[in-house]
Formats: sequence, C-alpha cells, structure tokens
Amino acid sequence: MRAYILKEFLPGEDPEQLTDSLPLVTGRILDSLATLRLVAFLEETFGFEFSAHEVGAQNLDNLNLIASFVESKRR
Amino acid sequence: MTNSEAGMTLSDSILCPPRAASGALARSRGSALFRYSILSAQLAAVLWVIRWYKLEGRVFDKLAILTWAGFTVHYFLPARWRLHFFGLLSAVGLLVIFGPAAGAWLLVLGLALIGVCHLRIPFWARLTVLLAAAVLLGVMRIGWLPFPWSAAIWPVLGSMFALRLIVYLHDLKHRSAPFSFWRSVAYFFMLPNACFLLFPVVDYQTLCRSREDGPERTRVYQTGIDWMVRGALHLILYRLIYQHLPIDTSAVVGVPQLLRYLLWPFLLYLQVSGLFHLVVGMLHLFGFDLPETNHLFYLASSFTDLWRRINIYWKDFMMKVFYYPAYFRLRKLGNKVALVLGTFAVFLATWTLHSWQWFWLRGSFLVKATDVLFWTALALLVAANVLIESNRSMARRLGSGAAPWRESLRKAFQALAVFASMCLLWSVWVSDSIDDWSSLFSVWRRASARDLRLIPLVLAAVAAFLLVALYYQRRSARPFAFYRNAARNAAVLGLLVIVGSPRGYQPLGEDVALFVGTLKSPGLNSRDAARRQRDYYEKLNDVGWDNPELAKVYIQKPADWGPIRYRIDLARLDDGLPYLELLPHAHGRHRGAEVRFNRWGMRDRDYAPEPPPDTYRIALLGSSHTFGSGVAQDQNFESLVENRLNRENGLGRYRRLEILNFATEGYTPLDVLASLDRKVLGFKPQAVLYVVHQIDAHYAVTRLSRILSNRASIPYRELLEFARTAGVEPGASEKVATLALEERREDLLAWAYRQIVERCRSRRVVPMMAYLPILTPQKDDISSASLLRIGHDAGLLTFDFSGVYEGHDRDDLQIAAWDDHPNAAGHQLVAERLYAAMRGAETSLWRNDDNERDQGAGARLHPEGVPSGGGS
Repeated sequence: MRAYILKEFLPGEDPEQLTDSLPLVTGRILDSLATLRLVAFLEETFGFEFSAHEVGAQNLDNLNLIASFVESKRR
Repeated sequence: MTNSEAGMTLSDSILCPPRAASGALARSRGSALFRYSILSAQLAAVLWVIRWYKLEGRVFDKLAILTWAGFTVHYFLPARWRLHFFGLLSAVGLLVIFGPAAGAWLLVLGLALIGVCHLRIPFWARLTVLLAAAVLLGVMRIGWLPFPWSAAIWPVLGSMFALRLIVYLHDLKHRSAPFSFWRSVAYFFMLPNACFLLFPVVDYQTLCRSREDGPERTRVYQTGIDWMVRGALHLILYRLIYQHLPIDTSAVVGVPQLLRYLLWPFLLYLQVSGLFHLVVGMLHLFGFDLPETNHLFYLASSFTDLWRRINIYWKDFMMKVFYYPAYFRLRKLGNKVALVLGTFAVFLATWTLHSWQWFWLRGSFLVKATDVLFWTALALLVAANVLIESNRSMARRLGSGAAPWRESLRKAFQALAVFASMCLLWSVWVSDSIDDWSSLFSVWRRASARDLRLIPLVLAAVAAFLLVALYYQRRSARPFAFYRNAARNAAVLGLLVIVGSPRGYQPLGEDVALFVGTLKSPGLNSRDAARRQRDYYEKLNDVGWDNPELAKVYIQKPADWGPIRYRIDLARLDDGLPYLELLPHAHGRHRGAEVRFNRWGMRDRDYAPEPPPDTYRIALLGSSHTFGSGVAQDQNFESLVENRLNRENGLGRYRRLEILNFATEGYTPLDVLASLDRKVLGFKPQAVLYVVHQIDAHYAVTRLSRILSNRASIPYRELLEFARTAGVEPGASEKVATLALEERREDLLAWAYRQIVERCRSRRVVPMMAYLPILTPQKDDISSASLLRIGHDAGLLTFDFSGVYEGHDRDDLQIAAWDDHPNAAGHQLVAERLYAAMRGAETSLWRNDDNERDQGAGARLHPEGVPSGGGS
C-alpha cells in the first residue's frame, strides 16, 4: 500500500516522509480522483468493495487508518 | 491528556483518533497562562480591528464579546466539559443576539428538528416526518400560514438547518460519527452562525473528528486566530475592491470599462473567503481543528483544482452526499462515464441546493438564466478537466522541496488561464441577462488607438500575477511556530491600525483620506445602491448568490417590503403620467410604518380644497423621502416643520401655515409636473416647494423611456419632440430609449423645472426647490451643484440641504439595512434645515405683505437659508 501510494501519488519523494500518520486526504495529497484510484487499488488488491459512505478522510486519511479499515473489511 | 481523561467513549477513540503531539509545543517553556495571555491579546485585537473597520454589523459586537469570554472559559475548562460548554454558549448566544423570544423559538424549532432525526422509527419514516416538517415550515416561510415567532428567525433557521441537516442525516444513516445531545447542539447552533448567515457547510463527521483537547490545542487556537486575521484582511481587501471597482453594464462604453467589468465579479469572492476564514477561525477557538475553507483559489491551475480550492467545505459536502454515491452506482457503466456523470450530478445538486438555501434565507426560489448558464459552463469545464486528469499521473508534492522551474512556470500560466476564464464566467453570472452581457463586447468595435495605452498596464498585471503564482508554486511549507505566528499577527493588526487611523492618512491629502476612508465605511457601492434604488421600479428577486453584499442586505428584508406600486390596496397605477395615484381614504402598513391617506389621496391630514383666509398654504412635492416612507406621518419632516411654524407663529399677517404633502413614492420630475397640473394647483397654494434628489434626472429618463416603450399617452407634446430629437420614437425598446435619453437627462430635467416655474408664475405662486441628498451617495448621479444650477436657471428659489446628514452614522439614519430612506432621526435633521430655510425666506413668502411675491428668479439660498442672489 505504501509502495503504491509512493509510486502513484508521490513519485520522487523521500519514502521516509510518508509516515503512517501523514494526512493524505486532509493534507491535499489525495483529491477525489486520486482517492477513487486508491479505492480501486484497495478493492482489487484486498478483494472487498467499498460503499460510497466509506470513502473519505475517516478511513483513508493516513496509512494507519487505511490499514485499520482494510482489516475491518476483511474480517 | 488521554482520551479517557477527556471523557471520550470507545467509539470516540476509534472515530476521532487523537493527533500525534508535535512535541514542539510540549517543549514550549511558556506556561499555559502565558500562552493564554498571548492568544487572548491577539483575539481581542483582531475582534477590535474587525469592529473598528466595521467589517460586520452591530450584531458582531455581541458575538465578539461572547467569543472572547467563551474562549477564556473554554481554555481553562477541563476537557470533558468543553463540548458541553460550547453547545451551551451557542444556545445562549442565540438568546443574547436575537432576544429571549426569538432565540427561544430558534432553539425549540431546531431541537424539534434534531429530535425528529433521532425518533425510534425506521429511517425512511424519519425522513418522511422531516420532509413534512420542511413543507409546513416552507408554507409558513412564504407567508401562506401564520406562525407565532418573529419572521427574523427564518434566515437563521435556514442557515443552520437547510444544508447541515442533509449532512447530519447522511452520517446518522451510516452511523459514521458519534452522536450525542451536546454534539448535535454544538453542530447545528454553532455560535458564529448567529451572526454569519452565509456559513460554510461544516461536515458533522469532520467536526467530531476535529476536536482537539490534547497537547496540540495551542496550535489549534493559534491557527484559529491566524485565520481570523487572514479573514479580516480578505474582507478589507474585498471592501477596497467592492467600493472602487464594480461598474454596471450600462457604464461599459469602452475597452477599459470592459476589462474592469470582467475583472471585478470574481475578485469579490474574497468576501466569502474572508467570512469563512472568520467563522472557521472562531470554531478553532473552541477546539475544533477544522480544515481550511478556501486555499489560494485565485491560483488554481485547472478547473478541478479550483473546485478543490474554492469553498472546500461545499466541495466536501457534494463529494460525500452526491458524487461518491453517484459514482458507485454508475461505475458499472465504466470509470470515465461514472466520473463525468457524477460531476454533472454534483453541479445539478449545487445549483438546486443554492436555490433551496436561498428559499430559506429569502423566501423565494432563485431561478436566473445567468445562474443556469454559469453552473452549466462550470460543470462542462470541470467534467472535461476530470476526463483529462483521469488519464494523467496524479503526482503530488509533500512541500519539502520546490518543483522544477519548468513545471512551476507551466502551472503559473495555467493559473493565469483559469483566472481569466473564471473572470469571464463570473461576469456572466452577475449580469442581469445573457443579452446584457453579450452586448458588452460591442465595445471592441469602438476600440481606438488610445486603447493601446492599456497594453503595458495589462502586461504588467499579467507579469505580477505570474510572479505571485510562481512564488506560491515554489514556496516550501513552514512548520507551525506559535510565537512567530503571534508576532506576525501583531504586525499585521498593528499595520491595519496605522492604515485605518485618521491621524495616519489625513495628512496625506483629501484624496488619500477619501480612499482610505472607504476601507472603513460599510454600505453598498454606487452600482448596488443604484440597483437598490431601482427597487422603486423593479422587483429585486434577481439578487442572488452572485451578489453576496446585496444578498446580505436583502436576506433580512421582509417579503412584503415592496414599493407602493405593488399595493393595490393603497395605490392605483397608470400607464401615463403621473404613474400612480394614492387612493383616497386608504390606509395600511407600508415599509414598516402606518400610512393613512386623506380624502384627496395625500399622505397628510385633511385640508379644505381652498386655503382659509388667514392661512398661508405651501404645496410640497416630491418622491418617497418627502412622502415619508418608513416613518410615521407625524415624524415626517413636513409635519415637523408645519407644526413648529404654527406653534411659534411669526407668520406675518397669517395666523396659520399649511403644508400639503402631495409627494408620492417613485415620483419623477415628470410625474410631479403632471401631478401639479392635474391636482396640486387646484388647492390654490401660495407657494410650491419641490424636494429634489440627485437621482431625479435618471428617473425622469427611465419614466419617459418606459412610457415611450409602452406607447402610453403623453400629456405633453414637448416631451414627444424631446424624445424624437434624441432619436427615440414611441415603441422603442426601453433599454435603447434609456441609453439615448440618458445623454440628455439634464435637458429633460431643465424642461420639467421650467414647466413647473411657468405654471407657478402664471398663478402668482412662489416656486421653490430644495435639494435633499439621499443617504447613499451614488457616483454616477447628477451633482448637487448641477441640480441647483438647473433649478436656479429655470427660475426656482433654491435651497441646498447638502450635508444635512453629516456627522451621523448612516446606519443610524436609515429605516432599515436594506432601505436607505431616512428614519425619524433623519427626518428630524431635514426638518431643522427646512425650518431654517423657511425662516430665511419668509420675506419672499408669508412676510411679503403686498402680495407681490418674489417669483424666484435669480434667488438662491445658502443651507442656512440666507439669500445669496438677487431678487429676494
């Protein structure tokens, strides 16, 4: 997931700067199009489907939140 | 402090994870009290500057006190009480600002709506009950059903619930945020909302998630104050632009005016940005670490980028409630189709919800062709941009290093192109019609070599724009620093005090003083004041979101506050001249005051058809100011002067004085002339006093144009000839006629004045004219000097009441924020001037014992009423 974000949205950036708590949505790294692209990646990679209300900063704002969300969906 | 210490539940901890402490503040040596002192001093300073520059209305004073005191309490309260305190403070704020009765109704209605959201019935049933409640309230809003509360609460209720209820229900349905009584109270009744009706659509989930009670809270407070300072700056800049740049389409006569017309509308968005910064800054003071509402929107490098930077809360609201649901439903049709259709759904919802919100604020739905065109064009541009971006790399920068120069330059040029496009689009939005807007470009045909002088100016502006864009493209983000930010705020606020201080700017000359003075003077600019004045003739339902300043004024205006010509119970309209007659014996409430007409259709007490033998009779002519719009009849300057002169006696051989008020709302000089012929002279006055304003010439033109356009009968052959010599024939379009006749408006005025003088002289009546300025000066009006000169040349005895309102705050003298007719205090000032003028001219009036009264030729009086010309 980290590698995907670095490659797709932060090419050329220092990987260490992408901390687990770096705000992605509220920090304006992920806009709506990028968010939907990340959603597609997560659905494809982890084999679950997002509902519309699950898309947003509450689940996708940083790597920690994404990991927790993915885990809760796979349970 | 941990979450459990802060009284948070387990679900709170999951849904509202605490932010990681930066450590920078933990290392801060300053004690909590010292930091509070710095924060408190900055807050007091920024609130004072906002008040000093009159950036908000008087309600802001109460809000400022509540905010400062509330922040102080909030700062020292234990964390577990802070949310409850904010909710309570917001509720108390409503009671303080709106009064106990209206405030209590707001709370009751609001709590009832929140209660319905939480009824223990299926979600669809709750929605049905809410829809039924909305219909019922809507019917009351229109006025079809009576309601027991003040109409003043509608806009506030609308501002609090019309949109936020949608967000709340969305989160409630999906249980995507924690819910409790105090959270709901804090969310709907947010303290700043009592003052700011134009309010960002704060997201419920984000508000819950953003509560910061831990070590980061000093950063949150300081950020709030930073944003309030930025908001104040935006509002001052906005005022500068608003007061000096806007012009009407009718003033676009060349390329320079066209460029000006294209530029100003988009720049005025600074007001929304400024207000939203203030609102969200205030919410930070109560621990809500909310995101920015607007971010460098003039430098957006694409239309999608603009959508992400301008009114960000609206974008988030649309994404959450419309875009993502639409996208997920449609994505089986393909990613791109879903993206484009989702975008269109968002813009359709945007337009519809703006109209929905407008209904609750104003009581009518907003449907304008230019509105539809604006949103459609923006939707197409954003959709096209979405398609392009969906195929591109979505690389972003973390802000640690600047982008390559080439990329920065490209983005700067893109920002310029977006800015220019938005200026063009926004100028359509503010135009009265699409035809009106497209006709502007005919000035290109009139472009001359002189316009080439604009090229260096335009190039310099472009270069400046690119430099600013480049600076922000390449600027590195700086980490938060409490003391640095506080020092910067102190410097900015100090500078604003120096700039706004009369001691600072008055020595620089009158022009500079006037210019800086406009920074501190709220009120409508000349364009909007003219639009408001046109209220005499037109319904102003076309004032929408494209004009927040005028909208702000009209939001408060009761729906029944219309011109008298719409009152069939009070007046009868005519196609010709005069355009309207007051109905004899009619009475009712009009512009907030009781009006009662006598048997002759005058707003005055009853008079005999002929003056009694020992009575000196003056006929008073004029329009709404003289009619006394918005004040009780005994508070009108006419009644005040009549009563005073009769009380004091000193009327020569006369025992009494009668002033018969023939003035009627909306009367132009042409209507006055027709009224004189048809009605006034029949009452055998010994003198006629016509009260004139600087807007009269324009209104005379408008009246004649309308009559010609409607092919209505004109009782004066000379008027037809006058129109023909200006190239206007009966049946011409009103706009064409107005444009042609405007150039000769002074001639038209002079003709009307000469006619009045001729009628008076032939009956040995003293013809007089008093110039009374309207409260809101308008740049394009005829000057008082020209008006008095025309009157004097026509043979009228003239009085100049210029400066009658000087030394008083305009807000204290007008009947309502949306109506600048003078109130009782204003009439008192006018009465004093009129009394002095009458006393100064009494040798020409009632003391002219041989009855060979002066006919006014060559006489001219100073404001004090001392004759300055010959002939007295």
